[in-house]
Amino acid sequence: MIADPENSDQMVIQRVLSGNRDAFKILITRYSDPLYRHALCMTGSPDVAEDILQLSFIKAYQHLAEVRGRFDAWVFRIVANGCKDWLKNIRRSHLSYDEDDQPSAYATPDEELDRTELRSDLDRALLTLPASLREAFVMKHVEGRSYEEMADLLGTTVGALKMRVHRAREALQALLEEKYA
Amino acid sequence: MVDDLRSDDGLSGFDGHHHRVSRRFEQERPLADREVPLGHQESEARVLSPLVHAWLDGELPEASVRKGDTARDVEFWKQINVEVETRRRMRTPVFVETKIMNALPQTAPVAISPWWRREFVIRPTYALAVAAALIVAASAVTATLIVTMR
Repeated sequence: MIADPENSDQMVIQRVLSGNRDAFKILITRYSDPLYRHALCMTGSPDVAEDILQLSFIKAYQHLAEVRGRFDAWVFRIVANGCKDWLKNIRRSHLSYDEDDQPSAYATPDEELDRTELRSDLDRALLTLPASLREAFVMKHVEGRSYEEMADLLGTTVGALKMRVHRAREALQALLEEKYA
Repeated sequence: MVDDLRSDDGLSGFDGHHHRVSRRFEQERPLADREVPLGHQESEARVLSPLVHAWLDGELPEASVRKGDTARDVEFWKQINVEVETRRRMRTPVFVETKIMNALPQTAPVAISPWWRREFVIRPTYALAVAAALIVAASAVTATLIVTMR
């Protein structure tokens, strides 16, 4: 919720449409963190996440005049589709999708030293989940969204999403519990 | 722009606790457009108590699942939640914002609509001109036909 009506998404969009290109930066600053986290958890690669974020915001800028309803939900769908398309292309270009083909768990070399074993194991486990389960788990647990909000963003039912999250949890626990339970 | 994310996968209306029955369905059904299976098979998954799911969904207090068979699951998920919490605090690298701004087109965005959706304005002079042109064209065709018939 934006308290200042002057800087509400709708007002910012109007400013951008009337030629104030720099005003778009407000929207980027406002929404890049949750979108980046989503892309990062979905792709497992900071480079890919940055690319998807960049392309999504460019697409959002080009089609800004077509925004109907909430900007954050609209731009989220662009990023989510970008992630799914990337995963689909990865699958097409790798006939056998082994662990070696997957992007390495995300961290810069410096960060790598600080990472806990659980963190990298969880990254790897997440990357083995089907995209729809991973997306649901990330939205629920990492992004902390309610099922209702998820259903609104993904255009599906709360029941279907609960099932995806439950299945994702069970799959993750099956992969990790031997080591961590 | 239409960004359709409605990949319901035919699972609408299914509630979580009956999903074991639908597993076989899942394996047999065709993949949704953007669904990407990545190696891990669901058959490897274990059944997690509905109570643990309810606790993870914030519907039950921890105390209610801490005892009995679910205690081990609670310990496991508490570790995962600590890890997940660190992810929730991740920020976009600072340079990304500048990179995006530099990559944006210099011109202001405009609505691009197909020609059949665009507003069509008819001015009286244009209407008269078009009507006159049609009459002339029709007369010419008729005259040509009459001359040809003779």
